[in-house]
Amino acid sequence: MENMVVMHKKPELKDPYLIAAWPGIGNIGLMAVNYLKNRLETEEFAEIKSYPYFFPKSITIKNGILQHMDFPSHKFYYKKAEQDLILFLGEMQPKEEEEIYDIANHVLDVGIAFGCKRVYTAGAAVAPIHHTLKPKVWAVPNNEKLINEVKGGENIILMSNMGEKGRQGSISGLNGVLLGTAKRKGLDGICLLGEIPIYIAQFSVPYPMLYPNASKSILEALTPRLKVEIDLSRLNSFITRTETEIENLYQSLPMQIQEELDKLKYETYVKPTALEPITDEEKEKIIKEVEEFFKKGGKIND
Amino acid sequence: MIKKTPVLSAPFLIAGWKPDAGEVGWNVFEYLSSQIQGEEFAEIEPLGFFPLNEVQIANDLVQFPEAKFYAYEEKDLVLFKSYQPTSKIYKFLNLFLDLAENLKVKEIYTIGGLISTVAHTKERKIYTVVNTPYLKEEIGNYPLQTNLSHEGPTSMSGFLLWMAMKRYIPGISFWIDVPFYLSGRVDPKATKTILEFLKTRFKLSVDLKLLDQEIEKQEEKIALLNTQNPEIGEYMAKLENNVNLAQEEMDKIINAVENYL
Repeated sequence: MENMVVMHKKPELKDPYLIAAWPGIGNIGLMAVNYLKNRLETEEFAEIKSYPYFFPKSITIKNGILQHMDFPSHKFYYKKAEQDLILFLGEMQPKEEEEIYDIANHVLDVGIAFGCKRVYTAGAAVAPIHHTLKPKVWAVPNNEKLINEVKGGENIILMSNMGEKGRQGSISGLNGVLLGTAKRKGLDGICLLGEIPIYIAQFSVPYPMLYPNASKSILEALTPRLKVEIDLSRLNSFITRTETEIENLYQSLPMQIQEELDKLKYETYVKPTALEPITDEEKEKIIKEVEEFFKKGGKIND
Repeated sequence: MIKKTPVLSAPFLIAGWKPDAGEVGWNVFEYLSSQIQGEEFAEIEPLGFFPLNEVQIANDLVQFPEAKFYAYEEKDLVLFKSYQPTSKIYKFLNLFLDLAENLKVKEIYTIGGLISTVAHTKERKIYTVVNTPYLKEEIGNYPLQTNLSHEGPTSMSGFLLWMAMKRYIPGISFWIDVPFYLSGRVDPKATKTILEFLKTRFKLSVDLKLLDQEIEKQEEKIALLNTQNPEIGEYMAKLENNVNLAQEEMDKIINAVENYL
């Protein structure tokens, strides 16, 4: 069988942690891991041949001769540090379950080849929260012993912190499959999901909104665990720009929807605030109204 | 799935897809099969490659995806007429190439429409892309545009050509101009231009008169549209004189042709 991983270099790494991300809602996980990759000045060392899983992104033809075909990249980077790290960034998620499972295995096999015993994935948690609140990070470990480790972390919550329904949920795409496959292979894994307000996840004007606030929350949760410190100033500048954009969009929503969404300012998963938290019925009503609004084309008020 | 092994020595394998701009590839094969006797001998079964949970209906008929190989033993030619797969494309194209290798195919040709700003009344150019440089010389004597340069989105044929290259199977993609306002329907002029090339290339005895009638009919209809709708007539005249149209003008032509034809 064809080896689907191309190794450009074989760095010497000691028990590295593997951190993986793909595009998803608000590109939250991808932006966090990509930022980490850039700030840590990592070095690319391997990639997955992605042509079996994706349609080509582009073709290069010169004077009538096919020169090159470009596919969505799936690359590995490393950083030697107090805690050695392998970062993996995928440019696209495959559609088929079989392909998702294949890629998850390829990613983990590279990690295992370098002695990796722990994996982190990062993504988005669509939540009924307001955009003026700091996004929390939902941590989902792949085994019991990691629960105590993530419990009580600053701004980090477990699914069980969310009330009665909290113990159940799902992680779509590679973020979940990678952790499940890691468990099968005996690796510890934690998925960190940065909260994105449900209505931001629905904004698409003219392209899906990015939500760097949540990426920052993920990085704040992740970096101490990786024993690295990074400068967040660039991300903060981007957050400031995005906040203005989001606020403008918010102000252009119909007043009735804004009033409903304003209730989300008092939402909390961990414990009730002094102000009365919204009820589950109200939460569902808000979600329904926002969904209806966007289903109708999401026309913004002038 | 191979139903029968045809007697072929080193055949050319020509592939065409549906959907396709101007339905060129599909229509070329339909026309060819109405004129010369070929035999279906293999197919790629649709399960896994096409959405089968909802079967489409068009022109009162059930539309079911198919991907079939037809042999023309006398001409040492194989045609592959297929819907474009939407899932596991790499696997699908590999099945195609496995059969091509089993048949010891000499070269793979693909046929497709290229959405263009050419007017329907104008001569259609055929552009070629080869995956092996020497093929350019081989087709050098035909009226083809062999120096296309492009960097950007690709197609099923482009992907197939690249995969064939990885297996060292020579291949050429043939792309014919299809006016943007005919891209969603049959373009008989594009079909005829491709057939003229194939006829010469493979010495096929194919009568193209029926296509001439279709071309005439389509041109008459569009001429009538131009008369009845002077605004569209003006834009069409611009196209015929190679004047660039604004997007809005092109959209108006598309809508008018869609409603009228």
